[in-house]
Amino acid sequence: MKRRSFIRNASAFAIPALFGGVHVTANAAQRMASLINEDSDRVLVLIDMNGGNDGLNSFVPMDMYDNLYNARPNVIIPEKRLIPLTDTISLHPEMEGIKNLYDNANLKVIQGVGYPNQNRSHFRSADIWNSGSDADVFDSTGWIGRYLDDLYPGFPEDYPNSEQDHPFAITLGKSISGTCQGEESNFSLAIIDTDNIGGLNTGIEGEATDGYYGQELAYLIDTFKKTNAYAAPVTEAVEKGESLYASYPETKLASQLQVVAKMISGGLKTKIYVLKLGGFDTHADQVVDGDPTKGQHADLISDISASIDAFQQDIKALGLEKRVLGMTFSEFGRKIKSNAGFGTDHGTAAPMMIFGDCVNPGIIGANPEIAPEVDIEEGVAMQYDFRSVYGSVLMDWFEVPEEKVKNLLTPDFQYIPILGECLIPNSTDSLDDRIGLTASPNPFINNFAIHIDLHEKAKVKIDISDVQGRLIKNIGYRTLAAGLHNINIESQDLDNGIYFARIQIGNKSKSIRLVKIAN
Amino acid sequence: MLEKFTGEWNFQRAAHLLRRTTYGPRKHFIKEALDLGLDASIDKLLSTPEPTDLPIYIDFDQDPEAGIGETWVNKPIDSSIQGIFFSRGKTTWPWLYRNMHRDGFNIVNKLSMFWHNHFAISGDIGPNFNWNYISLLRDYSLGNFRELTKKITISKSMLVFLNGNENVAAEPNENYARELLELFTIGKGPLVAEGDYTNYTEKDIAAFAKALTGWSPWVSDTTEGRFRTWAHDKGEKQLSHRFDNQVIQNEEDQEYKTVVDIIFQKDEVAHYISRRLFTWFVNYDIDAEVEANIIAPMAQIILENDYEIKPAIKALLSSAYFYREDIIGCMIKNPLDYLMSLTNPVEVPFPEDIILNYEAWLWWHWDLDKMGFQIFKLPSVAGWPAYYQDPIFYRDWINSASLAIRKKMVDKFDFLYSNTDPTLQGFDFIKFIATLDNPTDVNALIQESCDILFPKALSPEYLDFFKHALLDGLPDFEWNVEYTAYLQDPTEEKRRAVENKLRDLFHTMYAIPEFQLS
Repeated sequence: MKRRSFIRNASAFAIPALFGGVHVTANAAQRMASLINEDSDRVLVLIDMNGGNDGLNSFVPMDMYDNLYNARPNVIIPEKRLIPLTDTISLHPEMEGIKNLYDNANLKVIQGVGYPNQNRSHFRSADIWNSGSDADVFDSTGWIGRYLDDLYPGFPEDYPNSEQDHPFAITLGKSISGTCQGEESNFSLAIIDTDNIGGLNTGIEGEATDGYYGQELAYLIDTFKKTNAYAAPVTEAVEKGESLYASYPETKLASQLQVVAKMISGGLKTKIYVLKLGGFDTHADQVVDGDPTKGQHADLISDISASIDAFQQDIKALGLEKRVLGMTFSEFGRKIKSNAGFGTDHGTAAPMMIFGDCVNPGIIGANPEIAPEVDIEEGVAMQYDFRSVYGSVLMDWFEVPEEKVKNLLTPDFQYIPILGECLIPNSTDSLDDRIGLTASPNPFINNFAIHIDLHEKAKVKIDISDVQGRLIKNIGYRTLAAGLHNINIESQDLDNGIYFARIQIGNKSKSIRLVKIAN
Repeated sequence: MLEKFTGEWNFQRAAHLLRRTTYGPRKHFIKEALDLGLDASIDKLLSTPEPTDLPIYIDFDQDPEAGIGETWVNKPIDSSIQGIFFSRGKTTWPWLYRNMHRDGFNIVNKLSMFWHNHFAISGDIGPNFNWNYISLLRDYSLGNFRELTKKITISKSMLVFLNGNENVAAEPNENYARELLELFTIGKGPLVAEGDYTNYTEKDIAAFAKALTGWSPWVSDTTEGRFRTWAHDKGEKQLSHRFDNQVIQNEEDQEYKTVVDIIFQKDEVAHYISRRLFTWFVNYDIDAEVEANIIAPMAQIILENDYEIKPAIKALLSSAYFYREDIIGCMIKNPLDYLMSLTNPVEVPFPEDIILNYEAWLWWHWDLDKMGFQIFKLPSVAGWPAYYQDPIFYRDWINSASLAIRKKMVDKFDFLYSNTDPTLQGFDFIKFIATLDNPTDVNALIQESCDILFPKALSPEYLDFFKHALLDGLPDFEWNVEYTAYLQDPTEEKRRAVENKLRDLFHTMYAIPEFQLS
């Protein structure tokens, strides 16, 4: 029954590897890890569309519409009722909010996300999505949990403490999230009712007793205390926090997202929020007989769409848009063919949505191919492994080096440029806006160039560092005239991953974030 | 040989036996076990349970097959009737809780839940199928593991859950064969070569899947699935060296029995099920010592008895290890255990009227659901994580949200006491303390309540802690004065005064971390 995960061993070696093989103690590693993430006041909001969302009725591939119609005539939405998004993709009529996000360049859609050897059991597939494991690996830790384990080795011992006094992750709902399961403990604090957190009676701590009874009692006492300790900052943040958007839909998901907005604006330092909307398992009555624009799926996708849109508007109104990124996921898509019950059965890949001000907006991946004759079992083919999406978010949003991402998720990880411009680390002594700094191509494969636009002559120091702040290339000082300068950087020798090109004039600097990807 | 317990048979140990094998033992059962002694107590626990009544409709009058108050079991289900699945399905839960509440001195309910966790199913499988499944587990709970596995293999619920209906000769579906090996019988060993998990290989999964082709759950007139010969693979199925290169020949609808028989030829099956039983009844830590001294002898007993499970359970529950000081109380209660530990020892009254009774249990059911404990809807095919998820195991039940719900459940029972709705009733502590040996003495009152409610002796400081909750700093004798005054002249006013204080006392007992342990 010992189901020790393979990751346990992998992550034990991951820390020394990060520091170039130099032995560091756990404490030193922890301090350095927190230095790496110094500017990481970033928040990731995960929304689990539980049950298996029908991607084909959400982002409808218009170039395949006729074949899709043949495969699912009783559930497909009439063409004229859809909301056109791009030349080849239209949205479900209930997805006005998503259209709005897209129009504001706040949405990234990744088509055809799944994994090899799709398991069509809900629970198994949800476990796989939570853990980020291969389809045939039973791993009890979650992908976020492993990431946090790596940052905060030793959790839950000694937490919360004076430096880390807020919960690392929060689940709005009845249970902690599998995504946040670490080796020893789950990182998420589950909250159903923000008025009812903590207040547990920790009893009398007698002398600690040895043996199993003593161990379990000690665990309980610790959990009681932790719940009480984490409750205070959460309650305080909810009280202090604001919500500036008045038109959230009246749904549970929307109200939970509003609580998240309040927690973030109230100063809670939690990195991960996990929310869940269930009901996407639309085997029957996905659409109403006679009006496919109505039905279970319409209600659910409307909730998702309007709630996310409201949340994003709130986050913008609160001025938090550079700090908050959201992502939806679902254990699988539906089959291409519908069934006789006006529903669809468990399928394969489906689109994922990533939203926020910092996304690299647009749609990545081709429309699913729908053949004129579709097999009864056929689902949407996979284009991107979900772990490549997770890993790219970890790389771009939490600045996890690529090697580590591979360690945490899969050696087959492939970087997807999910995030856009606003990710350059903030620097208080930044150069002013009259000095331009861009780079191309970005992401790059071999070499890249940085483009420096000066309004006056200056002596510019240029260097390239990696995500841990290590100097990789020192280009040195160049005295440059006013105007645009292109400086080519030889980079074949660099490993894949994130880098920063930095220019310094006097004691002020500016940097740009670059990503090297595999050829 | 499993070392037998030879120590003193006392109240705490008798209570431990009942806490681990029944739901929320009451004082009179503990006393009975104390009087019976260890062996006779175990015999009573393992005796054939009373037959139960059958689940009934409580609020659904649209089914021509059965009306309100009548059972729907074994009656055809007309899926065109709106709400029929939900209305049948929801009554199986209160039926189960009601049994757990009533069957005080028998292992059957806890053992049925063991098997449910072992042969986990989940999802919207349907009330009739689930009824067949749970009654099979109940009937076989103390029976033969191999025969139960055969029954489960062609049970409709399992055929639905693990895609047996999609397992056809032209396109075998390996879901069930994989879990049959990995989780239900022999367990997955270390990966020693590509596709070789020590106890079996990928080739065996594929071969067994083929041997199991042809079964469909979609049949209405039997409790088992239906065999369709057209969907059955008639070829030879070649097993790997892990199963001695045996070849399974076509045996049509009897072939599944051969599959199970072949797997059960391997002694590892007995070890695997012994570990599962140990995790359910004793503790989660199976170290080398437990492997050698508990699991191996249990497996031996199982093999000697040709996979009859009863002798091994008897040996486990009589073992010295089971009564180790640190094993008593080391198990965090699952949500159902927690609920029953609130309702049963202090005897929360549940309505005599069967429909009201079901409604009352159903009310609590949703709290269990909120805490991740929903019978028939397990989180995965591996069962509840508390019984397999290394390293957290039983601790999986405890988090900030579940603790908030556990806390709130106590408040609800309390609130219900003043409720006038006959369905839902709350704690009646006055009635409970009247059953104690010496309730007029505050120290005895607290001590005896603790012996019933907590698995282990609490640290001595708790006596004052609880006394303070009851008396708020008044001297001890004031309890005697107040309580005696009420007994002599039980006016409403006096009753309320005493009851309020008792509520403070028991609330404090339910609130402390020790109460989460069993």
